[in-house]
Amino acid sequence: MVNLNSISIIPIIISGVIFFSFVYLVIITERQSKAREKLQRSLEKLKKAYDDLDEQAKIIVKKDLELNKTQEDLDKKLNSLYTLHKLSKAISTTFDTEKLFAQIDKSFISELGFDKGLFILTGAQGQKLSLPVTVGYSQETLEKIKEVLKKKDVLSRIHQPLLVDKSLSYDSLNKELLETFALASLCAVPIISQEAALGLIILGNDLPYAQVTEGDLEILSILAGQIASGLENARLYEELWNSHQDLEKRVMQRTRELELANEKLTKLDKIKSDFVSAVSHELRTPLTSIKGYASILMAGKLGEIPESVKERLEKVNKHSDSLVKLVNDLLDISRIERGKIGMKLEELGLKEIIDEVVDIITPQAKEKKIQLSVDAPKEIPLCLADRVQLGRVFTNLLGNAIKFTPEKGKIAISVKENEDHFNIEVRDSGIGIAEENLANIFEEFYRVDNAVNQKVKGTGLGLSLVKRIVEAHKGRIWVESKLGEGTKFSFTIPKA
Amino acid sequence: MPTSVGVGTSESSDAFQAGKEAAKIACNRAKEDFLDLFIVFASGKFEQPKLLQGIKSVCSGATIVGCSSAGEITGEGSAKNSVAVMGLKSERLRFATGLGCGLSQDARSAGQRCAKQALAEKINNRQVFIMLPDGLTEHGSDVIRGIQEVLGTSFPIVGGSAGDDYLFKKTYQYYHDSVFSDSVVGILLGGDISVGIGIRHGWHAIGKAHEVTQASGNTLNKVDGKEAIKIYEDYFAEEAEDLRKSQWAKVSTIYPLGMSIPDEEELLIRYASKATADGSLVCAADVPQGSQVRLMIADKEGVLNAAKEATLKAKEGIKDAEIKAVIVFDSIARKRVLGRDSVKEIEVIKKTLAMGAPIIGFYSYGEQAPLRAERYIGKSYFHNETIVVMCIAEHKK
Repeated sequence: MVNLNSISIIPIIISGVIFFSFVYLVIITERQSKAREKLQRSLEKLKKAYDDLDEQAKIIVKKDLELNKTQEDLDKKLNSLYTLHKLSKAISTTFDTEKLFAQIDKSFISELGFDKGLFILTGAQGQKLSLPVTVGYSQETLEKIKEVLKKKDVLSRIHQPLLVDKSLSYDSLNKELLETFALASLCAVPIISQEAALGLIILGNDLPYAQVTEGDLEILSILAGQIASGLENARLYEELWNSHQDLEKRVMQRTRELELANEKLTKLDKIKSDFVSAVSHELRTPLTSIKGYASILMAGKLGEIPESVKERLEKVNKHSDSLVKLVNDLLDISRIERGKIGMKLEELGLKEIIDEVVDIITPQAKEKKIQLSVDAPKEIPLCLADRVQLGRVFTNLLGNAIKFTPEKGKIAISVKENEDHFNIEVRDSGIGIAEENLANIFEEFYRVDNAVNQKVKGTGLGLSLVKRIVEAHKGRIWVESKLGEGTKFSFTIPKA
Repeated sequence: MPTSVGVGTSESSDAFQAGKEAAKIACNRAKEDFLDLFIVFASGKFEQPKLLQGIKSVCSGATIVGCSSAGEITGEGSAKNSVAVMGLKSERLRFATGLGCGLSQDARSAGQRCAKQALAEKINNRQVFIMLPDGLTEHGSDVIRGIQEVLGTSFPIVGGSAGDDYLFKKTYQYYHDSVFSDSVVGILLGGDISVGIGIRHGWHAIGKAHEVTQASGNTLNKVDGKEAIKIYEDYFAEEAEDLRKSQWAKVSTIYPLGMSIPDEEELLIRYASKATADGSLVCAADVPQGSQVRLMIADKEGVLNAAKEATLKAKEGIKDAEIKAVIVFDSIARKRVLGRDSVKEIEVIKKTLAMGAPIIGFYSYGEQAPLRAERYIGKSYFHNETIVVMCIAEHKK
């Protein structure tokens, strides 16, 4: 029984153990799977976080790229502005376009951030094509570019700053520009002054990664503006300079002409003086003989002569006298002119000289009932003059005054003292001189065409002689007159 | 007699004159009538042979090594369209040069030839090999590999890839009197000197790591099973076509890929010079299949800080020896990121050096240096977007 019992119990125990083991296993497995699930969830969370982080990394990278680009643009702009500032200082100090473009060299272009480029100038009317700045091109390429520019009118098609890049819109003009100038990307900026398009700036890069930017275009627009105003200033300056040069040239030419004319006149004048002098000498000798023989005849030293002959001989004598006077005057003029007669300057009382002449002239005045007055300060200082020559001045002026003043007229002499000279006036109430003749009356042999002169003969040398004497005293003589009212001669004589 | 070093530059437009002028200045600064070795970096715009003739006219018989660049660096700052030369004369410094031509045919054997030639001259206490390969080659890693096969994988190799003023058309390598392209020029330095090398890029990884699922050599075909260019499409939310057309160079320079290297902590930068029509990215050096790549991002501060750290590392390397000359290989990408502040990078180097040793360098299309610069032992790699600072120092006796 016991055995049986014990035997029957074993399977029960075994099945119990199995059962409980199974239950335990189920519980364990359950727990494990829960843990695994948890782990799985954590893992997924972690993976998500990792992916999130990677996503964030992408955002950072994108932002960083933007930042880098901004930084690069900023750096470039700063560099460019600094470079531009240097150039504008240079531009404002020169009016010379060659010097202006000499500033824009390879280092300038590379500081602006470009590899290659050129500046094209067309002149205001587009007539002259020149390339004042070229960087990075061989001579051969430049010739080719010039050919293209001449053939195809590229310049007139660009009216505003243009950014050309293979990755941007790629129309026919853009393609043409990139090909013509052998660049991967470029800026084309026209140089425009107030009046006209003067040229074009082409700057760009060979390398695909160093593309030109909007910022470059802005900088180049400023540069183009500066160059335009620099060119305009240079042009205005050149115009001014040219007209100045022209004026100077004309003045020089005119001066030369005048010099030549003056030389010619001086020469002529000398010939004239020499002639007059020579002729006068040749005339004086025979005149003296004529006068001598006439006197001998008149004195009856060669026998009595009839009255009628005597009368003729007196005329010969009188005409000889006036001829001698004429010759003497002429000689004097030419001598004074050539400085051959030195003024014998001495301290003289002006009043005495005037009185002496007035004494001589008074009979003539009385004959025409002319009132002659002298107005001079009682106490006047001495003047510095040649007694004989100053006498001639008064004799001539008063002689003229009496000649041209009608009967019962007036002649007044006045003397005024000035700081270093006397001012002397001889005024008459005569027929006066027409305005158009005033300028010529001091010329030799000039005789005003009027009724008096037609009647009374004269040499036309009197006033000319007067003028020369006054001037030889370092004085001045001038005339004021009105037809029918009278004439006033004024002259100055220095004080002692 | 201690080592004499002088740096000279010229911006003369006449190539012969420029070379002559720079060499003369270098001699004056070094206070020597003749210098044995000239390291030359110059713009490709010069008539290259005339440039070398100009230098030779001052010191005929001197050894010349160098290459064309995308900007020249000296202690006075950086310049474009110029020539910079460093002239050296020393009884302690020993050097040997090598040349390998035809990178486009077989870069690896060109590298081997270059190293072998330099190694042929027996130089005691070999310290560093400076390589100057053509910057337009797509086989940068192969060149290093070739050189390493001759000099050993842990021998320090530094260098910069020749540039051509951002034209990406033709670069030049200078070897003695001659000018080459598609070549690598090398110079092995040794003797009684100390060399310190520092290298940093300062870029940070951003976003997920992506697995290179298909690649061959320097061409990255598939990433995460998709076309490689997808990475850029994703992050910049632009169509591949637009990226390629408008701003590829900019995007791939500023945001290169970072590649993880076995046993190395720092990511190696790979600049994808080309994005092909089938969506592959052509890099300047190898990107092995299976490696993880990440998009890299930079900021000015990080870039400047990297220059500082690289200089500090180079300084540590020479311990208490006196720095006689500093050579800098600086990526054009850094100049691009820094923009107007690129001059600050040179200032940072000078400030960190805290001494007036002559500096020469250039903006390069690629850089070569050991990744881990401590004690400058470690395998050299081909880098992009990186700055390499190398100090040549002399123990005071």
